[in-house]
Amino acid sequence: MVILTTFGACTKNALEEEPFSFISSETLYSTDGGAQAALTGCYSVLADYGGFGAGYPTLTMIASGGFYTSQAAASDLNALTFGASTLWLTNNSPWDQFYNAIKVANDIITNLPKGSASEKTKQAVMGEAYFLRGMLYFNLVRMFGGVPKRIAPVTINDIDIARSSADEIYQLVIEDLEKAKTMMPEPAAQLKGRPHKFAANSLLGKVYLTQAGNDPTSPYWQKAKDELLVVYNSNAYELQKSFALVFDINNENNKESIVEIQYAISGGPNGQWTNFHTPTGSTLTPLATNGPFGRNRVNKEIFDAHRARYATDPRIDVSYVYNQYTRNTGGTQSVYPANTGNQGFPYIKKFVDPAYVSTNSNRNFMYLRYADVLLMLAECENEISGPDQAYQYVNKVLTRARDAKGDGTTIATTPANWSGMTKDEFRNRIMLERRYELIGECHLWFDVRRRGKEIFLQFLRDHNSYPKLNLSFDKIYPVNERLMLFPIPDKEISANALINPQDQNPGY
Amino acid sequence: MDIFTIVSEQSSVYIIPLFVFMRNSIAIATLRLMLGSLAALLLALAITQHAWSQAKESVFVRGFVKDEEGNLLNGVSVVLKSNNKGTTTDEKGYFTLRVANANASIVVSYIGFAPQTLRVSDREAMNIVLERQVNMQEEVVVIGYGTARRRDLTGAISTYKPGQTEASQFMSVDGLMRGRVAGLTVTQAGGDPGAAASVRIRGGNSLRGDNEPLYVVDGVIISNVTADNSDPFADKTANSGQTKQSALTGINPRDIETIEVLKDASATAIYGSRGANGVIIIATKQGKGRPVITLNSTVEMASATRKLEMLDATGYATYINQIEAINNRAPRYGLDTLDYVNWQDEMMRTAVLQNYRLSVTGASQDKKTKYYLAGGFLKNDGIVEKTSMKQGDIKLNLNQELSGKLKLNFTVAGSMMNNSMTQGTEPLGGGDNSMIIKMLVGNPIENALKGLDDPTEPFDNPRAWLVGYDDLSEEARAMGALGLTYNISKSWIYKFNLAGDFRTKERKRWFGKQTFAGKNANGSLGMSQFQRSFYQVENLFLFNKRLAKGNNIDGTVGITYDKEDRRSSSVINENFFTEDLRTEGFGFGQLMYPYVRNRSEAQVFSGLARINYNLKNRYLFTASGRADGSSKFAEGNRFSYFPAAAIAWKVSEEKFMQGQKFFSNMKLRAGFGRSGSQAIEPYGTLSRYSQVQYVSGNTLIVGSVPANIQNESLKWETTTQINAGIDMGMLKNKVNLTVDVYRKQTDDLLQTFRLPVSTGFATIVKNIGTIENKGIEFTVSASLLENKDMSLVLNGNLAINRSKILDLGLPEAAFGNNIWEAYIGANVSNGTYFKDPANIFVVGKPVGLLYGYKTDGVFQTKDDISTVKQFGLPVKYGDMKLVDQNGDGDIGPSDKVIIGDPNPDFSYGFSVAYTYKDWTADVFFNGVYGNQIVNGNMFRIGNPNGNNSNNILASVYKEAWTVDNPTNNPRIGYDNLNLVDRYVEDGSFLRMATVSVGYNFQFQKSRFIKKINLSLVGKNLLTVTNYSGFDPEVNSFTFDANRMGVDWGSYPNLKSFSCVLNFTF
Repeated sequence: MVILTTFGACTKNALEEEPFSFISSETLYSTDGGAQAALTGCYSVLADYGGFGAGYPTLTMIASGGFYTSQAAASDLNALTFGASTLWLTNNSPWDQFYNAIKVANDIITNLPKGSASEKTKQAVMGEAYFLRGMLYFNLVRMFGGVPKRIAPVTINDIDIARSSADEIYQLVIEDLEKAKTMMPEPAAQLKGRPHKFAANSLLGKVYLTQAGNDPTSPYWQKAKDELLVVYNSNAYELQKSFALVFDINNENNKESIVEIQYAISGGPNGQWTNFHTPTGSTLTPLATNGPFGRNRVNKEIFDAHRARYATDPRIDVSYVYNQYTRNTGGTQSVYPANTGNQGFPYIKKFVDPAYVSTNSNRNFMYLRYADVLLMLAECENEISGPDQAYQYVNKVLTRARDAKGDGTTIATTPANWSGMTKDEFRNRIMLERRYELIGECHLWFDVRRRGKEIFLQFLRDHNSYPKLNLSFDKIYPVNERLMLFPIPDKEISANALINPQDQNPGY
Repeated sequence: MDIFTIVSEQSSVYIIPLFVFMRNSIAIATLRLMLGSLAALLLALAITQHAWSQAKESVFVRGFVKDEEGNLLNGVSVVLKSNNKGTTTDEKGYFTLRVANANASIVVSYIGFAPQTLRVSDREAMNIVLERQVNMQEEVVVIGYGTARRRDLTGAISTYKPGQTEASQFMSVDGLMRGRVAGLTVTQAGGDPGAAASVRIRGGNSLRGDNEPLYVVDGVIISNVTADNSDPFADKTANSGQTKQSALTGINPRDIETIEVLKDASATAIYGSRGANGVIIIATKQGKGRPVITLNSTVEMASATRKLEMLDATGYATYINQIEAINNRAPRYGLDTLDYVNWQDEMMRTAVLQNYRLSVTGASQDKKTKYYLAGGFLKNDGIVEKTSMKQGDIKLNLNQELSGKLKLNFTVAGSMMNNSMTQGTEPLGGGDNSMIIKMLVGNPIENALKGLDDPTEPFDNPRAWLVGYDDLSEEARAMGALGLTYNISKSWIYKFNLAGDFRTKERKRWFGKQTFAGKNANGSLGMSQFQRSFYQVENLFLFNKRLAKGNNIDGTVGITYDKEDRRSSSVINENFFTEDLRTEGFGFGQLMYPYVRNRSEAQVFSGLARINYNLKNRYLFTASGRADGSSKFAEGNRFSYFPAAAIAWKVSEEKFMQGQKFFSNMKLRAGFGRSGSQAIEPYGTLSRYSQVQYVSGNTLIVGSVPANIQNESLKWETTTQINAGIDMGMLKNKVNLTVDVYRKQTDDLLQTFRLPVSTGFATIVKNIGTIENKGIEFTVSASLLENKDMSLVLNGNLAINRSKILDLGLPEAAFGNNIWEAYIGANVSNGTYFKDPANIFVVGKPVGLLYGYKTDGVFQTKDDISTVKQFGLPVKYGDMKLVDQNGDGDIGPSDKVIIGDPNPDFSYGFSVAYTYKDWTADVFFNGVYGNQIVNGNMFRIGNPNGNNSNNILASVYKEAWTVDNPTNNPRIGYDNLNLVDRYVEDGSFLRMATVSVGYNFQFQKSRFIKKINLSLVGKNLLTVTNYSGFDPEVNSFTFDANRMGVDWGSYPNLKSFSCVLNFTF
């Protein structure tokens, strides 16, 4: 009976769950350190494998129409014949990972104000959370069109939500970045490797530029230019002295970098930049015992166009592994253009990390950098007022490109400064220039689509008619406007009661 | 029935007409039996006549009641047959009884023993020896927090008593039970030693995957048979998951006295929130009688039940060259000097399994101490190279009478296990990280494999999984229980039980440089630790009161509390400068990933009560109730109530049945009850934040992210079941038949819902939906022949279960041409092949239907294919013709239809046991009928695409479509990535699961050895099936309800011969 009574007394407490191995919302947001940890959590998620670590580069490169992959499982993606259940959309997909990160940002935005962190920290962390959410939705809306709009933590009652229109998402992106502009830290107050307030202006410029599309009369050109000029005039960023320095593994988070996703060999988010892009068993990665996989590679016509345009451009040697590379085990391996078989594709060299081991590297990913801002500024200026005022921006990029060593000692003959172009000529050239400067940095998919389907379909036709294709390996792409957007992944449609197969993007 | 009963109740007049209804062997057997009885009858008559002649008026009868071993029995009922009045024996087994006259008969009965009816005798103290019950109806059945006689049961409970030889053949409880009990199905991922098996009673109740029954071993609750180490590589996209291992360890089949399977809710409701999936109560052997030492030795030789015929070296070279030609490339192989290796022969072996066990059972002279002590060792090699399991265990059951009123029960069991596995089914689904698939698709040209970095070192071929992969686990488990029983009064007993179960396990997986993962990482080691401690406290009051007129009331009330603490941790170490240490090299790798740790606790607090009322020994009523409080639910939903009631009518006890002799027993049962399930992870009602890492300046910093969607409304899943049954014993219980029909409905299903990924979470556990299972079960046993020298017993069971989803709580949506309330199961694989989900769950249909594309042969040259499109692309002759269900001229996901049902129409098992003098022979068959299996391996070995230089089935190559040989099979070079009906096969089988012959060597004169039993056993020697994979008894994703009926890299099953030797000293 004693035992019975004892049990009666302790029942209530005995059945109360005692948490181990995790904390509560109240605990997390009660301190400045906790608020920062929440933000760190958001970065960790967006940087992981399905996000910027591997999913984002794989989709935006391989499905762009300008890249090749040797990954058998992604052959449908490579051939642009993929559907809504293709590997990188169902498994380790940016759709998953970016929404996962949006979830964290929403949690911060909703719960941090209720907590007892200092106002200063709250403002800075909230600003960065708005920035990240805006950035992630911007990626999603460009890749998938209108997507479900979640701006608060998910509860049991709002698990299913329908797609919003693309316009609504763009509206959210702009609102978030506007808030970020005012709340994010000043450059001097921000940690190295984290975006500060001018990153919000830079990205907002890109948002407006994207919205402007191919319409020369669009008011978005001016909006984009305004934002980008704020960045330009702030002197918050500067071009590195040489193109090579931008990608020097010992010069990460440099002053050209606007948004840079951080990776380390020792752990953290799983970033595959070196692994997916660097040749297998080369002296570039002396510590590697196997790999890197080197599976995402540039199409022949993309590489050839750059060399044809600027034969002596120092950026070529920094951007590509071509002709041949030296094996770790001695000897050489020939690659395109020396080899047109299964090695008939140049590698991207920008992401080399000599410390690469065990599929891991310290290689960060620069999502946005200042050279891009200058090229965008040039593009806007040309649309608004013609090329005359636009040359100054693009020529800064070209001047830097010619200075191979960054000390003025070795100036290449190409790319020469631009002058004397018509507006249309400038427009075409700036779009190509973005490929040369930014190849492999995940801009191609967006750049070849943002000016409309005619330009995009021509891009596919240009590939299909390229005479140097080897049809044992190169793919002939279906010239199909459905490729303007990725399909909503099957697993979203099958699990989301408010998105049905008929809501799928056209053509899938 | 003994001959005295026959004398008094039966005359030959009744016996003869009965023969009319009999035929064939039954008739002959019965005739022999009856004639034997008749002889005894005449003898008995002579004796009783003698007794009558000496009858006197009003006498005192006295005597002692003992069991066969000479133990005096306390509490034995001794009543006058005429008026049911009487007494019980005292502690010394002594009774006195006043009887009206010397012609009276007394009935001596005791639970667990055959009752006897005797003529009284006043000459001297009667010395009555009760025989242990051989009649199944008198068996004592453990019903959960108490016992009952089988004849008094009101619920659907099946009992399986493994014989010594049967028990000696199996190393796990699940293996022992397979096919033996109607309505109980056992599936295993394959014949891999230590691999997890899944047990289902009356179909799956939940869509969550954890449909495992509750195990209660000697009163200790074992509810976490799926608990296992976490997978260190889970977050590292190594595309290599960890195969589940069985958590039902440390219970040795040889120690098992009985296995009771509680199937209906009137029986399981007493287990409340854990009873929904049925309860399996395992009672181990207890000590008794004079000391008996048994030594058991089993040696088994096993090999694969089947191998598949892949292309040989020449065939393969021809095939690959043909693929190269299709792709405009030069031939890869010359056809001479090919060094052929058959990987299945290379990787599989004849395995030797050895099993030794010593047990001692007995009681002290004063019978106050009884003990059962057993210990043993087994070493089982798997049929796949390198797989093995070693286990040693010891067990003690001790019963001690502390005083006349206080008894102590003590049981303790300890086991240690070492296991070495290789990768069979890859849980993440990637086929390449599986030895079994590698064994099939591996390039069969040995000399083609060399020439990679180091020609002497195999790389990523099947052999690499031997050289470069270890999956070692070590487990220690201790279970113990301490029980005190106090006889408060004649009717009341108080029981206090304290029990604990402690399990600790370490698992290490090593990927050496010969494997793809290991080569990338320069050696990769994942280690995980798992520790589970559980204790329970029970306070029970049991009462039993005989009322007037043969009525009886008994019952149990009690309070129980239990608590589980689970800890798991894992870590990865990579980039080793030396590979020598393999799984023991932790710390020698340069790259150390963060240590991951998790801890959780869960408690259940319960009150329970049951009452059984036996009215006139004809009408039985049972009512029970349990209130469970679980820490897994938030206040308000924390407690739930699980009532049950059942009635039974022993028709055979009615007067109107007394005139016939055909039915010796007939009982009708009906019951209703609720039970529940709370088999979800704890902390689902809380909002949780877990830790993650990010990077600042190449060093790690820690962040925190939301880990779940808080669901405060979580509550029990409840199963409501009605059951009606009939138990019939015919011809003096020579033939017993039990039939049960049931319907169970599970509401508020605790489902792991796949969330829209846009929520940022993968899954949530919610209470949504309803499913129904209904069915009928037959169990029959017939003693066809029984005499001094010979016996022939037939046992059989058959179960039919139909599941149906009644509600899913989802809006209707389009699935192809259908508008359904449905959801689709999980993607089978993460890799290139079988990415499609295999199952669909549709309201109004059985669970887990197979969902994919119908095919209609291949495109023939006579077909016009100029406008045909599949997945937006043109087709070629010899391509699979997928059926365009919606007629839109293209094939896409909306053309998927139901292409199969993984649920069997029925499952069955039957055995025949024959003994002749010291010879025994038995054969046991089991099978299922009418289910379909997705043979997922066909995505690789049945898909002649030439990708990854995979080998294919010889038949697939030979029967491929060509212009000259226009078959209906895909052409060489055609690649199929979709789940098509071609890969769905009939899973029906009939299997001779075991067959054995044994002989008992009796040594009656030896003081040393009493008996040697020698048995030769064959397992799985014969399987009748149309299934083309390794084995039809397969379920690769055993505990995953979202991947049902799939064979994906599962191990072949094993067929074996074993020699079992039992020595009794």
